[in-house]
Amino acid sequence: MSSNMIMLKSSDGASFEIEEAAARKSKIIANMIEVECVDEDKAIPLQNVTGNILALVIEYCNKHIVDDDDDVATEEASEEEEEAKKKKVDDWEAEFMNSMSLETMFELLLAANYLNIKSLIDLVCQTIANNIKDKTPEEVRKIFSIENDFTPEEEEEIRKENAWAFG
Amino acid sequence: MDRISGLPDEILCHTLSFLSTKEAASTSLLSKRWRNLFAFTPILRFKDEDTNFFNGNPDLDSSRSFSDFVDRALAVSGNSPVKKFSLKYRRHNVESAHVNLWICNVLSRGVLDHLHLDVIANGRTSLPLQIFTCKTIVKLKLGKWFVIPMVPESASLPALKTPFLDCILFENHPGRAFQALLSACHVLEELLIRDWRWCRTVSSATLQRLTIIYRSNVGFGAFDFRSIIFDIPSLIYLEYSDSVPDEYPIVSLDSLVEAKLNLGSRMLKNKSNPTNLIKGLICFGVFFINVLTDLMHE
Repeated sequence: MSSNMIMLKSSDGASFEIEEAAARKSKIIANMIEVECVDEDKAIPLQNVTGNILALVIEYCNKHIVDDDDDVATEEASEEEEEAKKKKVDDWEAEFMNSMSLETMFELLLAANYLNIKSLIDLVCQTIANNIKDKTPEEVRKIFSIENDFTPEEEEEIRKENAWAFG
Repeated sequence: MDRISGLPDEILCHTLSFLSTKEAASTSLLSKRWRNLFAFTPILRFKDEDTNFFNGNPDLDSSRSFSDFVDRALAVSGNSPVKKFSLKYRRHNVESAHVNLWICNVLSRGVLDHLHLDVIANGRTSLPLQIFTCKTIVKLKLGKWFVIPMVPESASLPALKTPFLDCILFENHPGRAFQALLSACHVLEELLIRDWRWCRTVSSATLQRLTIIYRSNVGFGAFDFRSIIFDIPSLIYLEYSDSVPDEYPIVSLDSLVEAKLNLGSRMLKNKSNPTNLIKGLICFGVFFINVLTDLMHE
């Protein structure tokens, strides 16, 4: 089993053991494995990811590698089973995203971007987009602490430019 | 600067691409950092909330501001890549020439893979010919009454897998133009056709899924329905609702696994003959046939 495990090391020096199959969710790490620059006894240093964020990334990857295995095992699954499984993953993802602060979410997004884990980038971006959808600019500014640096005249101009969007 | 505004452009644009372009554009008011970001997303979806098909209300202001909005979004983003472009607007009051310019604009950016057009404009909206030499397009959905003026000889769509043709019109030699279109698609996988007055032959070596829906309330009068040819040896799935023509001279459906047929006869009795079609289907796996009763009783 240990031959399938690899070590990752966060920027603040924490080490994590992760199954190779889970680590391959990251294209960067998958590439490193392909070109054999992964030494079994040595941890892969990830300079841009702190330990607490790396723990979240690993939690996500582990969860999704299990799901992928399930897919292979039950190729003949019925539509209902497929749906139930998808709902389970969706629920887990919603819970996962709910459990973190916005600050953590941005860190996670940057880490996912650095490690190139497309499905995790999409999950976080979708969550952020949901926070923008159906809200007034004022509400969005408040959620993300964005400072309005427009003059009232400039604001008026933009409303005119994009009148259809504000109709 | 706050945390979200400090994220790279690429990530913010990706985030905004999960919203319709209208929703994304509401962020233009957040701060200077956000003013034009929405226009740089690789997915642009301009969608009118009012999708009432026959809403002919000539609300000129709304049409002008819609056109202005699309114009501006495309102008601001310059040559930034657009992968998916969808346009849903059915108020009759946007100029078809405008729509044409928008399509040409996104095509010229060179990376378009999804194009979804559902527009009822003022004047007939013709598909620009540039589309037939687009190397990147994978999915093409054309909504009601788009006109394809011609399919040029140079047509080549090496990436197009799924064309959906929903009530579109071919202007000249429809049968031939449709066949030329299919021949230009080298990796055709799935084809959906609604109201196919213009076509009597479906021939493709690669096509796997075919759905043909003909609305029975449309008159047949002027159309030649003598014969229909299905030469689709790789077809796995067929869904086919139509009136039965006089004959099916060629039915090649050697790979078929599932078929759903909903056949009816024409007003002109006694000539509809689905024998070859049924023969062509009979030796393969599961299929469902729902032959309308009037045909059964003939």
